Amino acid sequence: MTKAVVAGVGMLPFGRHRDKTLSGLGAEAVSAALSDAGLAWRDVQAMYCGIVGGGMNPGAGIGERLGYTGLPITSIDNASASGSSAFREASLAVAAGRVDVAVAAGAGKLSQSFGGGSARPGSPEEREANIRIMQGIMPPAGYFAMRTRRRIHDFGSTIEQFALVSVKNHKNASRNPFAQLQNELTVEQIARARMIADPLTVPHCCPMGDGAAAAVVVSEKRARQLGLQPAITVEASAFRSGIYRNGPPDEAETTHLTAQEAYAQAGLGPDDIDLVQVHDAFTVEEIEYCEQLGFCEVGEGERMIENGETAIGGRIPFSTDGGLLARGHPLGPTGIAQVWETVQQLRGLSGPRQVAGARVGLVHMVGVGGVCIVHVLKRS
Amino acid sequence: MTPDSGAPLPLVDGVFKIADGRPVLLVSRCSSCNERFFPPRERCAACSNENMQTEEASQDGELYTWTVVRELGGQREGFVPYVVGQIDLAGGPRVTGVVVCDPDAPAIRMPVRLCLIPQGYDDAGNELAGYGFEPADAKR
Ligand SMILES: [Zn+2]
Repeated sequence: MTKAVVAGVGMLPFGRHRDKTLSGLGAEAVSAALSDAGLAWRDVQAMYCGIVGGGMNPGAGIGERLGYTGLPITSIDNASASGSSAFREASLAVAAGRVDVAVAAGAGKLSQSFGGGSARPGSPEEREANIRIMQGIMPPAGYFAMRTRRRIHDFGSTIEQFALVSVKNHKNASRNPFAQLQNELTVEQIARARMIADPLTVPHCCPMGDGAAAAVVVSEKRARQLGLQPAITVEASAFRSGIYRNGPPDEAETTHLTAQEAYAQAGLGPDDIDLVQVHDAFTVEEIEYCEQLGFCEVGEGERMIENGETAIGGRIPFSTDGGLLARGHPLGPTGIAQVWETVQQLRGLSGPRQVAGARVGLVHMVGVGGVCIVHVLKRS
Repeated sequence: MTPDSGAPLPLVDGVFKIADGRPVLLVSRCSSCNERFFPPRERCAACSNENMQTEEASQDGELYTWTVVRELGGQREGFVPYVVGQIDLAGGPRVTGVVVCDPDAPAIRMPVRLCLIPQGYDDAGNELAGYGFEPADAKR
């Protein structure tokens, strides 16, 4: 067994890429990651691609652009966690000794995906669609709006406290040229903004956009040959779907269980973590995951953001690149963009948003269907 | 079902029935662990047991949480705004549905009851209805 080492990362700015195809975006990110690692496409022995939508086997389209070298390419759709899944599979392939060089790639073009016509009359798809109509058709924000409102009821929190997550993330993104939304925002602006689903206005929700990201993972032997300094190792890769407890699983509990598994794998605990990237597609999520990842007790999440403990310079910085709320969330590449940010931070290359002395980073994603993936990366 | 009987037909079979002009939700109870589910399902989500019994749920409940959908797929016209809630039915389970009320009206723990929501007509011209909720003190 070897540890998986992240040898290189690359990404394209998130935002709008109307002039590029999905596979074109992915291929550019892979090239950037390989060049960062000092490796070439022909060195890659396996590639895992996290992509949502994009037709049949979209990962093969990325490989086709980079050249037919005969390597195995796997496409993964795990919703928001697709990129995280790709990174996990690349890391596991290396750690298992199956390959020395693996690539995880992700790409998304949300400006063109999410098609799907109406279901045939009398079909099981139509039946399910009709049940969804009765359950109340909602944008994703609707579900998180209900979660936010219930949390306000249960903990006496205020919507302004949740807005602070967006304020903090936009501030971080304003120092990140790769972020989709680089404007700073105030609590007052967020309160005034357009309402999507009460009580969530637009800045409480992540933007839709395009983008790509990739990471190269190599064995320790290969890392020594490449002279990687410092080496960033994958200390934990935990992946769970939900379990039924007192009702259908929610992302908060699944996050707790997945984090416990990741900490056990790494032999580390919350006190050892220097920075965190989370699935903060909606503001309430940072508050909840901060608790479930073990950085404070349940009910203390609001205090964490209010006291600036999750800001850069705080006790445990969250979403240093702006997170899903401001760096952006094109689904497929998001989990790998989190790895990109973590690797740059651990290398000490994050400039104005650098977390001083960062040695260990935790990366967290959840996805539709109740999946949760947590990685722990360490500079050795 | 006789055509033109005056009562609408359920939009979906096997999910709820209509009695005295009001929906009754059909829930699945697991014969092994007693967990209850809506919509009905063939296998228990808690223990994977395949022996499920169909029961009728209470027509009354209270709001666990709610939101107002203000836009959908970027569109801000059509049916929006409307209220969607999670409702704890008396005796369980917790179900999700549209709450027919003013967007300013809902509050957590507000008492609600099931009501019919018109859903157009089928190919034979029969009136269709889905289930929804309304405040318990709404005029009928
Ligand atoms: Zn059961």
